[in-house]
Amino acid sequence: MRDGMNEGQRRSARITRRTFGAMGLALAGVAAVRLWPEDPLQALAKREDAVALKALGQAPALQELGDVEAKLKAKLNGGSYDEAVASDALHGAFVVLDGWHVPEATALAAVWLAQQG
Amino acid sequence: MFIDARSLPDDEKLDADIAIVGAGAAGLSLAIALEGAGLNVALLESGGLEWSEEAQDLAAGELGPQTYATPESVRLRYFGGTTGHWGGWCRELDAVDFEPRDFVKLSGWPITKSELEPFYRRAQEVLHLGPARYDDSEGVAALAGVKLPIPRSSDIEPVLFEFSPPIRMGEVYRDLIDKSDTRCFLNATVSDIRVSDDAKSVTALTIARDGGKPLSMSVRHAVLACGGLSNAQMLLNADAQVAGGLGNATGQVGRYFADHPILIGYAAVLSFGPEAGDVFATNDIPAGGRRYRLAFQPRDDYRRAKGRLSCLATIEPGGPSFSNGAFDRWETRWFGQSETASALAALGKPGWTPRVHMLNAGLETRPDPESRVTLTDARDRHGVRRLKVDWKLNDRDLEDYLANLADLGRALSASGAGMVRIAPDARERWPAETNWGHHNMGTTRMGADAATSVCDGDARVHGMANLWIAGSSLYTTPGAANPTLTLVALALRLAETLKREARA
Repeated sequence: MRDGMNEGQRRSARITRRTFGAMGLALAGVAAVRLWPEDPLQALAKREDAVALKALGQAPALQELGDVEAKLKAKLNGGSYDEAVASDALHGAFVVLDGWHVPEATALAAVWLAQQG
Repeated sequence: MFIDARSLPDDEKLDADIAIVGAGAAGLSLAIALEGAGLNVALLESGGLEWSEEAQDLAAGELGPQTYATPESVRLRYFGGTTGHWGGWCRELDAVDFEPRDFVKLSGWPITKSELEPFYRRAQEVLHLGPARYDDSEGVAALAGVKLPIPRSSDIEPVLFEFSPPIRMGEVYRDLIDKSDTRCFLNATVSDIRVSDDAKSVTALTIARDGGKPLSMSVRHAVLACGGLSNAQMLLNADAQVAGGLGNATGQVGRYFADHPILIGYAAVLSFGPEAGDVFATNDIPAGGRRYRLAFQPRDDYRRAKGRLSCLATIEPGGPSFSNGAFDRWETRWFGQSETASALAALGKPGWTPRVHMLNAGLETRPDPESRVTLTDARDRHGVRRLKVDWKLNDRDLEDYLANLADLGRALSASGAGMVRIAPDARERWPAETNWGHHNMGTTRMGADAATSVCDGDARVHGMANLWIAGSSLYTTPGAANPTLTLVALALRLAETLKREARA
């Protein structure tokens, strides 16, 4: 277990080594990292408007959204934040905040970011 | 030609094939359209060529509990009528506005929009407008080089008003009337309508004037074109021979009074995009030498599907930009907590200039027989009883507007153009904090059934052979569009009817 792999992964690595050799295995690993989609929550935290979202998330009216991380993950459903916002807008899924009609994804993202500190 | 009624001798005998009472937008349009028809037309104007306190006093009246403009401030009594302070907003009613709708009790005009189309075209000319492009927001926006914030296919679609210069009809058509065969009697207040023994036809009009005895004008046809309040007032006041007044056998005269509630600051829009921002910031769209204004309205088919009334929401220009701190100087009540608005504004794309704009709207309302014009015991100096306006507003109409606003917010968010805020206290503000359009409508509504209307589809008073109505009092339902263009079109249509009738 020194390599951190389980038996199935080790078997897969052996097959790959036999097939492509050590260099092939290294290239496949790099490609996997690049192609593997970034975690949607991590991507959210890196957004240019994350600071604004965080400020929005401090609004008292949004503190009653409950377990926002689980709801946010379900809302994103593996997709991007922008896609979720667009979907909410299209389907009229809004949270009313000081009268503003805010897409649910925006409200959830805002509170989640504010909770991250 | 103009004739000052005060200069006529007491024994002057007057007659006319067609007597038009009132020289405002409806009466003047009708008179212009009757020019050259070989008919003896008399235009009777209560005021003079210029506004005067003496004439305006004849328009005074009382109000019910709902805040509203006093009757003497909502219209003008002089040649040209209320076009003397008209804002020039023009837009046709939509096809659905004419249709019977099961979600609007007593809806359904006795005419269709297609029947009115040819007269709409001519009304454009009367009001010095260009080709009708009210539903061509895409074409006009392209001509002006601006981008619409939401597509035409949205449930709440971008549509247009066109502005008349605005013309003051009393100035624009003064020479034409002066040089025409139409006799325009000034300072001639019609104080009574005399009818035949069977009360089925008008025989003469009594014309009161200062400094002389009342005159009598024998008429073959009489048209009341005194505005949405006084058309009903004239019918109700003519009760010397017919109890309850003319055309009032079923008690409908004066009922269904409507104006467009104008809701200011019930909502705001945060615009994100620079292209949309251009439209929002200037509001008006100059194109092809004409001036248009963008408005948002639920589509015809969406209204039918949702069972919802219309509104025409416009975005006021000059909203504060978040980049220059101007927001803090604005009324935060319109925009909510400034922290919230600022944070939302920062969600726009980098380099964009988010702005907050006030969203105002004119609302369609459902016909309400208890919203009405009645007479009081007070009389003016010519003995005509003063009127009382009791405007009723219904909560359901506000709910339709709020639903339309939410849909507008959905459309703006979906296109990335902006967001909508509905004031959290919107329902508390209604109806006390409601403005109005100075659009007096519905008090002599058209309809096929005399039990729920005053005039038929030709604008003839039910049960009367030769008494007709011109003006926005004819509206069966008010729609959301400003009424002047449609009332001019109706007057032009009536001119054709009268030509046929007068020759018969």
